[in-house]
Amino acid sequence: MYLDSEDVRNLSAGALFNACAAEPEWTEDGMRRVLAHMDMTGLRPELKQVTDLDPDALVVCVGFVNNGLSLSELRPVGDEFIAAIELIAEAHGREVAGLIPLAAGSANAVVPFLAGMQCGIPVIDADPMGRIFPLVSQTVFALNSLPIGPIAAVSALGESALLRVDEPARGERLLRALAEEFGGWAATASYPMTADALGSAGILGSLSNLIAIGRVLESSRGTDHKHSELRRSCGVRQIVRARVSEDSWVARPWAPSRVGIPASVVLEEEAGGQIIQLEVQSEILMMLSDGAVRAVSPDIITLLRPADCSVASLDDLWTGNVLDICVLRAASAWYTPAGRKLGRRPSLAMMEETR
Amino acid sequence: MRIGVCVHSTEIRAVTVRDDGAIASHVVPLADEAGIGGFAQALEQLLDLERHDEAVTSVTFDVGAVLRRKAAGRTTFVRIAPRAPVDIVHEHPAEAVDGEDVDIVHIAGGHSNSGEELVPLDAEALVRWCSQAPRGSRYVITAVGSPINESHEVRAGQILLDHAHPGSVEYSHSFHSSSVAVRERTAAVNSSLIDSAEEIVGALHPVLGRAVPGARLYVTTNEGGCHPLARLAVMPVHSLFAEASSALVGAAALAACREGFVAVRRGEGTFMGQFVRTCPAVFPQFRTSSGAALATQVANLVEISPEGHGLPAAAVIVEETELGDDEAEPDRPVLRTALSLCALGAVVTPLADWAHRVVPGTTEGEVNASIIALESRVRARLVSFGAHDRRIDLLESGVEASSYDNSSTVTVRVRGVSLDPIALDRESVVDLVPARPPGRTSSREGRRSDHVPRL
Repeated sequence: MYLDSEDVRNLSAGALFNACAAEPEWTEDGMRRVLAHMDMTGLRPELKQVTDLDPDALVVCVGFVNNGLSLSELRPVGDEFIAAIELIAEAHGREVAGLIPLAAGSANAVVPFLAGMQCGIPVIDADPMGRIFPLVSQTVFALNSLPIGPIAAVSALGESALLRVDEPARGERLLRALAEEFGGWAATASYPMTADALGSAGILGSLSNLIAIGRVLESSRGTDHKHSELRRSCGVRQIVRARVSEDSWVARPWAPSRVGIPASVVLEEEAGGQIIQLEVQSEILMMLSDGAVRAVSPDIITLLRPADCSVASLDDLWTGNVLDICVLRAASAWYTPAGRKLGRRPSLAMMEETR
Repeated sequence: MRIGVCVHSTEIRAVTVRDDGAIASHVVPLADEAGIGGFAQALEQLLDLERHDEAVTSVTFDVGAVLRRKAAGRTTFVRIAPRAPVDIVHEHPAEAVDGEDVDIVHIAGGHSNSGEELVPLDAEALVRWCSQAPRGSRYVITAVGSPINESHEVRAGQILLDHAHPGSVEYSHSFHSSSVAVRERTAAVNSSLIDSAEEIVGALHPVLGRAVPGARLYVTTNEGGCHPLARLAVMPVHSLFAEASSALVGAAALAACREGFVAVRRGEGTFMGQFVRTCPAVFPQFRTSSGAALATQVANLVEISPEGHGLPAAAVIVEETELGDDEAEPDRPVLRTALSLCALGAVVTPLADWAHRVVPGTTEGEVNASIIALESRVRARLVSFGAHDRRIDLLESGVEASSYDNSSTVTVRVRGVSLDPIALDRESVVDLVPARPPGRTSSREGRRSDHVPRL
C-alpha cells in the first residue's frame, strides 16, 4: 500500500504515543520532512508486508543512534541514510529491497519512510523492538541470534564507516562510540537480513499498528471515546488521570557513574488522590501508585493530554499539568526470561536495589 | 508607594499600593492611533492623578499588549553547521515577520557537546558573503553546539559588524534550548521586537525621570516575575506573554495565596496556575498557537473549560470584573474585584532571574561547582536589579533529569526570586461572592477563555 499524508500524520502520532520521550518535535519534524518530500516529488511512501518480498530479498534496519548532540541540535542534512543504504548494498553486492525502522516509536519510526522515498525502496511493516529501547542490541533479532552487521554509519559531517561486526552488544558499543565521534549521532543501516529471516524473527505489523493508534488519536471524537478505542483496539490496559504535583522532578543525587539514574516525577491521581510516581530516564520506566508498582518496563508507559487526547511528552511533566498516563503491554517477546534479561535497564535495577 | 501599570492598546490601567496597604486604581484612556507617545502622555496624566505625599519606590510595567514585531525589510539567518542541507525538505523554516524578505546563509562550523570544534568556522565564506550583503539587514546567528560553546556565533557576529553594515545582530545562544530551531526562532522573535521595546523604554524614561525620579523601574516577565525596565530593550521576548502571568500573581495576592491553585476568571473565561513558595509554577518553553516553541520561561497557565473541568476543588477563584460586565452569580464562591489584576500583579510580582545552562561535567565536583557558580550569578544579578541579598530565594537549583545521551554534560537550572513583602488592604477592593443556589444557571456559562497568551 502507498501511504497518503493522513497515514503519515497518523504514523507520527502513533510513534509519539508508543514512545513517550523528550523533544517530540523531532518526530514531528521527521513527519513534516516526509510530507514535504511527498509534495516536492509527487511520490508516496510504500508500506509492504514482508511476505510481499522475495524470501531472499535483502532487508535492513535504518535509524539514528545518539551519543552527544541531539538531532534537534545537529540536524541531518538529508543524504545520510542514502549513503548508509548504499554502503550496505555495496558490502552485500546486491540492492537493498526493504527497509524497517530501528524502533517502532519516536523519530526512528518515521525514518525509513523518507529514506525509502529517497532511495526508491519500500518500507516493510515490521520492526525489531515493537517499542523503543535505548540500545541497538535490545532487539528481537539479538534474541534470535541474528548478526547486527555489517553496519553502515554516516555522520552529519558526511563521514561514514562500515563496521564488520556480528555480535549486537559489540555493535552497540562500537556504534555509540562512533556516534560521539560523529558529533552526536550516526545515521545507521544495521541488521541486514533476508525477508525470510525478518518474517521469522521480526515484530510484524508494528507500523500499521502505529498508524491505527494514530488514527484513533487524530480523530475528531472526544477524549472518552478515544480512551475506549485505545482500550478496545490498541492494547491500552490502564489509563490514570493525574496532576503533576509541586514535588515534581525529584532529581536523585548526581554522582560519578550514576548519571543514568532516573528522576522521579510525583503526581496526584485526580479521582482517588493516590500518589502516582513516574520513574523517568529518557522515557517512563515505571509507574507506582501509593508505592506499589502498577507498570514497569518493558510495559509501555505513555502520556496523553486530557483536553484533546493529543500525545504529551516528558516535556509536559511540569507542575500543575493534568495528564492521562496510559499503559500498554509490549511485544510478548519482551516478557520471556530471555527477553526480560535483554530488555532490562541497569538504572531500574539500581533503583530497585536502592528501594 | 509602589505602582503597577498594565498597558493596553486603548488604555493604561494602574494600581497603586501605599506603604499602609491602601490600594487605588486608575484607568487612563489612550487617544486613538496615539502610539507610544500617547502612552507616555497618558502615563504622565496618571502620575499627576496620583500626586502623592509618599515617595514612589517602584513602578512596574506590563507592556506585552503593546510590544509589536516590526519588519526590518530583510532578515538574514546565518546558520552555522558542519554541512548545509541537501534540499529544501531538510531546511527548517525561518521565523520572519510577515512581509519581510528572508535570506538563509549556511556557513560551515559548529561545536560538539563537549565544546570541541566539529569543523572550523568558515570565516572566509562569511566575509565573501558580506561583500554582497544588503545594508541594514537584521541578522540572526545560530550555531550548532552554541549552548556549550558560543565562539562561532560571536566570531560570525564580529565579521558581520565589520563587513555587512547590519541593522542588528541577534545571537541565539542568548536563549536556552537544545534545539537550534527553537533558539533561532526565539532570537528572531526577540530581534523583531527590539525596535518596539526600545521605543517604549525611550518614551517612558523621560516621563518617569521627571515624575518619579527616585523610583526603580521594572517590567513584568512571562514567568510571573519582573526585571529592570532597561532589559526590555534587550530581551523583549521575555515580557511578550507576561500579562496573564501578572494577572495570576495579582489574583494570588488578593487571595493571600502562597501555595496552591489560583484561577483567574474574566469575562471571556478562566485560566489557572499553581503557586509554589509564593511564585507560579513555570514551564520552560512557550508554545505558540501553531505548536512552535520559544525558549522563554512562562507561568504554567492551564485553560479551564467552560464546564469547569480541570479546576481543583481547592482552587481559589478570583474574578476580575469591568464596568458593564454582567455580574452573574458564580457556580462556586469567588473573590470579585474591579481592580486590574495585571496591574496589581505588577505591583507585587517578585524580581526574578534565571540561569539555565548546559555545562560540562563528568564528576560530582565539577557539576557542584557549576551549580554554585550559577547560583552566585543569579544572586548577583538580583542584587544588581535592586534586591536585598537576604530576601533572595532560590526556588530551583539543580541538575535537570539526565538522559541516556550526553553523559559528558548536564543541564543546570537555577531560578532566583526576591520578594519585597507588602501589606495589602484587600477588604477594600475585593468582595467574597457566594455560589449561586443549585439549579440556577449563569449567563456566563459556555464561554471559553482567550486569556491564555497566544502568538
